[in-house]
Amino acid sequence: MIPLQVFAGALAAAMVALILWMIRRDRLPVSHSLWWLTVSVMIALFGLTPGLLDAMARMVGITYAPSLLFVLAILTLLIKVLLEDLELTTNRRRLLRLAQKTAILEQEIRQLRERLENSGK
Amino acid sequence: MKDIATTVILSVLQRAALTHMAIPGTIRAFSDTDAESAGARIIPIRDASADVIVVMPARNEEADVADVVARVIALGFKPVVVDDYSSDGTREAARRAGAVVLELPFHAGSWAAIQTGMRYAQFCHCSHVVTLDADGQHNPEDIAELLGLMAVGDAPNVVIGACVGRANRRRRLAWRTLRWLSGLRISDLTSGFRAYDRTAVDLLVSQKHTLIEYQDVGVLLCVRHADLSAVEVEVPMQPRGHGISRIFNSWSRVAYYLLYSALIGSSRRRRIKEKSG
Repeated sequence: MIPLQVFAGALAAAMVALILWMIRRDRLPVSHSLWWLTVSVMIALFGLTPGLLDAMARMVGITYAPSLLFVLAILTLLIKVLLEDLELTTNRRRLLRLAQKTAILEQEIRQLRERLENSGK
Repeated sequence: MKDIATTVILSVLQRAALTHMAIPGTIRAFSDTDAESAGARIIPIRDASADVIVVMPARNEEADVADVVARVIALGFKPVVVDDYSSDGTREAARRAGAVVLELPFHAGSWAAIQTGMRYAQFCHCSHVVTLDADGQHNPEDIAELLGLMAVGDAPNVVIGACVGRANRRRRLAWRTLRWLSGLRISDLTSGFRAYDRTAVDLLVSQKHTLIEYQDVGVLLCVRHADLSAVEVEVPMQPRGHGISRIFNSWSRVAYYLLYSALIGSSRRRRIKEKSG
């Protein structure tokens, strides 16, 4: 059986490696990677020091320590999804603005072209 | 200990949010206050007679749009049809009838279409914008009545052409709920027949108001929030020629619409109260 620390350490290291590789390949911007690197650090932290979770759970009055882990994990994901939603909204706004601008500029081009054709006659 | 963890998460979050926000800097110059900047770069084609433009959002209105456009032209106003990615011949029909046609490259929704028209109006330096449904529901002949209210001193910034008589049960329920939720004292909150002056247009074209979905409560709340005035005038409305109301033809749409308006109405209502208090 592999000790827990080795497993958690390997998991965190793999995640860090994956993120660095993605940055290297320009698949992930550095700004986004910060979040995931922080998550990897948390995995390493909780995995390598098993006593930490128990101590934290006792402090906040949770008797079954692993449930604290779930709470933290779900919270982390929830926040991330909310942030994604905010960014999606910003992008939608920009997309609409651009579409509106395209429509206006297209009309201007059409009008200018008609004007040119008429003056050419 | 948990507090420390929360603080760490929050600070990371904050940083993530900041870095996300730092990116748009280059794009902003293009999107905001673009009427002025675009006006400086591209000389807008101005038409002195068209001080009032009539914006008609249209989505698959091929059957009625030409007639409405012709009537608007006959009245001496400049018709601008904003084609919300129709799949029929709306664009061609409107153009043949003599309208300026702005084509959206994807289905963007009715308010986004109207805002396109407003941005165009700003671009052309028009003084007033009238919005009208392209399906012949509103009589272009009543535009004068709306604008007439704006000609007098101490004129309102927005005039709504209201038709209380057209209401069926669904619509009446919606109106009553919306009035109650938003605190607006306007009977026909959902009318698409409206006139805006330049101050209102300048306010509503802003990027901040792009994500509104319908031209009704959300828009009126923005107007009121900016301390602009809105009044309504009773006008007759025709039964729709071919189109159907996209909101009031099914209960599920009404439910979504009410929920949407309830959220926008109640969340912005509080802000206004705080401001006045």
